[in-house]
Amino acid sequence: MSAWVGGLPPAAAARVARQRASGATGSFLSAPAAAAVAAAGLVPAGEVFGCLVQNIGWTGGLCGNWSGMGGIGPGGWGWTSPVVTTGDPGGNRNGSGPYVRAVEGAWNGALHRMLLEAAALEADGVVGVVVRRATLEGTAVEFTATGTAVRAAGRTGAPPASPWATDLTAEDCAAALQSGVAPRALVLGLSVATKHEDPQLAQQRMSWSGQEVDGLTELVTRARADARRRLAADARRHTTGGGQVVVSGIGLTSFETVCNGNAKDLHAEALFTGTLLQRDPTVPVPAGAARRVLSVLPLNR
Amino acid sequence: MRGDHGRALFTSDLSVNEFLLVREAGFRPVGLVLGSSVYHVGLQVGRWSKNMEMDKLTQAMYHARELAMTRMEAEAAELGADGIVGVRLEIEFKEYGNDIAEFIAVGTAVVAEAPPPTGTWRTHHGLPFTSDLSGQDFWTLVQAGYAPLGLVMGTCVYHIAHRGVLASMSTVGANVEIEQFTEALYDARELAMSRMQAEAEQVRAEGIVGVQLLSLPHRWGGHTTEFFAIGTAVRPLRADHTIAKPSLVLPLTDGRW
Repeated sequence: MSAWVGGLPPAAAARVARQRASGATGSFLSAPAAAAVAAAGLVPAGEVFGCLVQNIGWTGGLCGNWSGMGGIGPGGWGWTSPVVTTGDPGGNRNGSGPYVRAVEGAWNGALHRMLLEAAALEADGVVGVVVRRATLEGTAVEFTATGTAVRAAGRTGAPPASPWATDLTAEDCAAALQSGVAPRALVLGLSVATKHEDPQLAQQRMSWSGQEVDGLTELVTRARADARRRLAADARRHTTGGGQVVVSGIGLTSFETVCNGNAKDLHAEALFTGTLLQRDPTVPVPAGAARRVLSVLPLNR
Repeated sequence: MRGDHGRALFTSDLSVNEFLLVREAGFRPVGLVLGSSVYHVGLQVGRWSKNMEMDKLTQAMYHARELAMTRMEAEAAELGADGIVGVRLEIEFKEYGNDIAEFIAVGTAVVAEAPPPTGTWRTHHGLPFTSDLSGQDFWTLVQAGYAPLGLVMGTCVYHIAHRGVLASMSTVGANVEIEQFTEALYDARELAMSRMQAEAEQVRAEGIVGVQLLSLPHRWGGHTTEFFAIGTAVRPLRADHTIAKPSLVLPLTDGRW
């Protein structure tokens, strides 16, 4: 492997160096989007990219029954199995813990490399960030982060050590900045919840009459609750004060696995993404820019 | 705002514009709230040649949504919210089984900075109001002197009769109305809408705004369809309603507001 420069592979470092030298900046912005960031006192500094290919070899392990019950087998018909999530205190009782940590690591890794490029371009932040996940082959999963780096127009001081990132569009970002709210970071909450199929759950899944499947409701509710906790925890990494997280993505995937021969484990994977925003009196609002967003009532639909 | 000065951190799925407008309307978001119910909708067989409501399916679809909504409201009440805006009600079929669907309600809980002239933002039952209006619509509504009372909905799962061979034969090659189908569609929609209407009357609403009337085929095959009506019931906050005077604006963006 060739030598990496400043945490970036040679190809990326060379591209960033060329971009810096030429002063020609690219961007993913449309014309109105470019006008919007200009209104908020920002100019594009170049498009930035980060990528990380992660091998996710270990995607689950112990049967939810064993991991949840500490080795004690199921009881009689009245017995219901517990739901365990990857974020439960006490840690690794859910077999998907290593999987969650691998995805989180790769997601943040791709984002970090994108931010390294942005820092090399002396940017203040990156708008319109999109993080994608794609399976290359087998267990190799690629995470990519793309966005447009922006810089404060006419800045005289030193660039910030670590630029912010947001998945808000350039227009939304401008609206936020003009209202004195600044984007801080892109945040992620991920959790897998697991429940071993117990007699009640099996009966409710097969039933011909309409009824709630209590065990599955608990499963998805716990997965989302844990993912939301992780999202808030990720946001707190970036701030000691308050703020708000604008949630942009809510996803839930469901799957089941076989354990101990013919028994089943049911899983729910919940994913939340969003941007941490904070009120910031130091946000440079350009002279003449409206501090308040103009309210317009369009008559079209 | 607690989030500005204190250490509280909250989440919301409002867009930035919606967030700013909700603040402008005198509310502050306190958190993303959601409620969920995984439901086995079950089976009901309709008579092949008869127009009929599938009452068991109707009940199941209604009950599951109600469970999700109630749980979302409970989460909001725990946050001390006055209401929930931008509520989305979604149904997703999961990999856990054929007729198993997740019903989920998601919205942003808000707290008002001041009570309205009529006393409280909460409903007659002391619960947070709910509304599926966007932040923009919500702002406009409050500006004009109305408050949302709650989401009202009505549903009807209907089996539309197959036509017999003789009936089909008689209209072969003719451009005529198939009255049987027309009537069935009328019946089903009227049932859904009148149920929504009844819910609005029950909460003593002045009217319902933003009604959507949806035909959802789900997974029952061509002749069984859910007709679902949903809207936000509103009440007046004051006797006079000032509505902003229109003025001409020439947007420079291409179609996007």
